[in-house]
Amino acid sequence: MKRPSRKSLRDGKPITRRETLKRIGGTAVGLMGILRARQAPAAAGRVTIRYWTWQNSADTKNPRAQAQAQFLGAFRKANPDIELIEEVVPWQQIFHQLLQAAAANKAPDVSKQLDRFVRPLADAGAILPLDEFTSSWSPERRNDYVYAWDDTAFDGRKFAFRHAVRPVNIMYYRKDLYEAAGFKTPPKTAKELTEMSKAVTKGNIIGYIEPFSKSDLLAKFILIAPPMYWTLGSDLTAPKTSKATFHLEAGQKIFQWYQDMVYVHKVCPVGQASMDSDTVNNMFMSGTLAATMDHTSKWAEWSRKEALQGRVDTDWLPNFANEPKPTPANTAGGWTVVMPNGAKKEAAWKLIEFLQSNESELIDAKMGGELPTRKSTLKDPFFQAPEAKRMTGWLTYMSANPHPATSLKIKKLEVLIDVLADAAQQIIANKAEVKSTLAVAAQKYDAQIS
Amino acid sequence: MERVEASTKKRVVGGRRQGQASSLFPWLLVLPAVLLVVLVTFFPILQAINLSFHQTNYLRQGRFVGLQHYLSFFADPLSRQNLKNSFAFTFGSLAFSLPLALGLALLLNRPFPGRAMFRTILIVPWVVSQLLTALLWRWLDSPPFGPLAYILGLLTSSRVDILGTPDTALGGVILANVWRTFPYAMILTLAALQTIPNELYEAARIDGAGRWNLFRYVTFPMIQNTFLIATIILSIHYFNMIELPLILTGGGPVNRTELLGLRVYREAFVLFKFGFGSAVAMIMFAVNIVVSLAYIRILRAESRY
Repeated sequence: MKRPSRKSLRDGKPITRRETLKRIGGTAVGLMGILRARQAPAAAGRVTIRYWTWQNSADTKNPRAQAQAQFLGAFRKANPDIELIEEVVPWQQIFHQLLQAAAANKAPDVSKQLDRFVRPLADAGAILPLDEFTSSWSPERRNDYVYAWDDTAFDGRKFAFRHAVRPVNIMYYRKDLYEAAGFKTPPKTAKELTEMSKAVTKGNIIGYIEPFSKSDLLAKFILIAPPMYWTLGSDLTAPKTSKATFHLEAGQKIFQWYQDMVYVHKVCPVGQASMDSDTVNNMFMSGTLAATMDHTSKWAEWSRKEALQGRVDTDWLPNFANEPKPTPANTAGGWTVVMPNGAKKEAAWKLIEFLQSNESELIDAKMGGELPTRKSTLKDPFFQAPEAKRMTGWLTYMSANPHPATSLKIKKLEVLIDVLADAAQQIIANKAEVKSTLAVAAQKYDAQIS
Repeated sequence: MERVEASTKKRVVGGRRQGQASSLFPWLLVLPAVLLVVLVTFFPILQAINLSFHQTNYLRQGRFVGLQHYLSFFADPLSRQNLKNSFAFTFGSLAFSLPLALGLALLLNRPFPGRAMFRTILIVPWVVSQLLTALLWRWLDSPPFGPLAYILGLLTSSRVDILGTPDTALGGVILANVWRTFPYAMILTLAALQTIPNELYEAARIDGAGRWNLFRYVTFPMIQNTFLIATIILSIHYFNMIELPLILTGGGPVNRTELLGLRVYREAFVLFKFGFGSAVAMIMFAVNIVVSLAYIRILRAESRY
């Protein structure tokens, strides 16, 4: 007996198994075709490279982003055979994302990275050494940098180049708030900072805040902590053994000062223990905070804000030994460029080289207010002009008050930041005893790096 | 007859083969989806279990260490703080969100002008993501800028920093969480309320039941199961929460708002201690299973009635 045939759904009747399988197969083939088309290589002769940056070139309000748009545009023009794809990753996440991307073989060809995370990235095998590209450089070329070559070299291998030099222990202060309290000049020592902050703190206005939230990896404190320790003859860790030294006498003095600013001098709020740098910066811009520490490249942005024009100025971090001499300049805290992915080395190196070129650095200096890394860039007439006076002043200070960027050599910096944040929060929020709290933090850090 | 029998047998045999093929076919169709679910669910769990027994260096798996990570977790005072925070957060949030949800559901179950509009407004917090909720409440509670901090400051005549003070920070996180999640329980409860037949109320009123007795003997028993389901889902959601405390407080001050989920995130993705982070994740998993089994038993016991 003949089997009754089934008819298709198009006629409003049940679909057959054969037709179902045909449709599934067709869909699968179609999807594969779409996926392959998306992965299709760039036009013949063109290489595509991915660049991770935390600046969004489309941000027309941010001068550093505008500078980036311009110098990357110049790179594209100079290298028509390279297709450059910018991928924006928030600066707070760019280190962690790169580690994960490297492990998943999805790392970009070039990435910006905070200089203090170059060592962990190198230790994790997430970035490649660049010696093969620099081995043929002349001594003259190598010495063209305003920073030490070894700053971004570990175990004798060069892993990164700085993308702008950035002294990070700069004090931004509100001239209007200081003048209203009767001060014409900014504080030069910790003692003066204390007294002036006390005088300014009234109502909604606070003299000084140090944010200690873990959420932004102690973004401000980790920049000024090294020079604070240096002026007291110490450092965060011992250079040879990498063991903690942040808990010794210098550290005790520094954290006691922070605790006293809350409970004795009644300047800083207890809540600073869980504040982040964005909150503090917002307070500074809105006129409810008289002083904050940050890096030089903030000047380009803040000095152009209408609300801050004529009201903000800069000076150097006050001397924490209360000596009438400048604090050493800390240049660790800026951006570098690294090569995580070796698949398109030649093209990636071209981008890294371009980012250090005189042309690129000049654009970044003029538009973004970033200090150039190369002495040859400084020969440009722009740096003799009055508008560059502040920038050349910073460079002069750096060369007059140098100090090795020791925080770049710290082992497992992310662990150090974590234990320091815990200790700081205990000392400030819980009014914990400074010496014992720091000692416990030091033990935790040493246990984790051994 | 033989021919008929033969043809019948053939038809029966052919039918059985056809039946077996038909019963396999649906499985073939769902196989890709099942494989995908197994890949994204079970494989990471097995990988995490494996990692929890190994030392790790950034993203590299090192030597086998057995139960060392688990023992380290239980020996660490911070772990006790994390567990305490997680349970306090979970039960604290339930204590506020459930009564609020029930009360509003009862109100919305009565007809009044603008009821539809209020219902829509009250659902809005649930639609807002955890990220936006956290950013919103950070501004509300911000001592220099926030209106909530300002109003509390006027009432207490002192500077109020809810999220920056160790004793009140968890309360601030609970407040933000309750604001965001009560609509979920409210909607479920409201739906259950609307299935209660009016005849039950009429019969109870005829028997002389007042408002409280109507609620106690008619309303609540009828919505009990739904309410319990909402409790289960919300408590699991609260226990596993990471985003809200991460953005609101970062786990501070002094780890007073660091929930267990946030600890896992910090150990694994900030400190890159994947082995230890996986061990903490497994402990969380175990707690979730125990709590879920307890809830299932309660549900089964309730459904017998």
